[in-house]
Amino acid sequence: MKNNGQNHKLFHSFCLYPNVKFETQENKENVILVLRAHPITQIYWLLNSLFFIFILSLLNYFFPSFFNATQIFFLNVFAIVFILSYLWLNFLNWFFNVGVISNKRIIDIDFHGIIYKEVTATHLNKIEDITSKGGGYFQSFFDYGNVFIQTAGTEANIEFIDVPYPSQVATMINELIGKKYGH
Amino acid sequence: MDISQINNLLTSKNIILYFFKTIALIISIFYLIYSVVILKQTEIMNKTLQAKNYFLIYSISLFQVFLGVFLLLLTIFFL
Repeated sequence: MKNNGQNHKLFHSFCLYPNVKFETQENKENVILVLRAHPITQIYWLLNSLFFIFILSLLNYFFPSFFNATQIFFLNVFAIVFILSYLWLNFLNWFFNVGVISNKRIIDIDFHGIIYKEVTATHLNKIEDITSKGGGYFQSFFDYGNVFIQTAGTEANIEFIDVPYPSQVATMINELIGKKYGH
Repeated sequence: MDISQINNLLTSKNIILYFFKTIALIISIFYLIYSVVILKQTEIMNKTLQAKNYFLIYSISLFQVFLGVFLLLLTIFFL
């Protein structure tokens, strides 16, 4: 874990030393870890899409009674385009909602419903407490959970939701703080 | 336009056809607007977190815009 080589695990949801940059990156600030939600938590939109495809194929049995061939073609084209858009929207939402741990700060980048952007950042010396939480059948089996980072004073607290290896993430942050500030 | 022409225009088959085309047009326009918003948002997202495979992500979002235009033209000329 302490080597400087890149390491991407679980479909890029746990990336060690990734080659990424972010908007508010400071001078001599290096990204150590990028976290996304565990892929298993994203399975619902893949299942929803499969369900929509199933519904569409079922409806195709009834369409000929109400619509002509051109209309049926259009209905299918529209439905397929919307299913693909739904998949793409959810993918973007997953891909760009990240937690970033650098050698100086912890940054939480959130896009709510794609349109709203929220970036929360805190310096390592402002961190007071780190808690990793994981429980339940799925979280234990797939080893994912939440990491809560409590900050000093009026600074906003940071939450990484459903990230892989939460205890490892907490340990890494603690090690970073220890190395940098010696506590 | 005589009575029989008006009558033909208002037959249930024609009404369904016009209704279908209007709905399809509205959906196509909204889809085009949505895909442009997604494209712009992809740019903003990438500015926030510069991903290595941005070109691929941007291309897919751009393809969505072309799909929206194609859908609109298809609805106007072929429905």
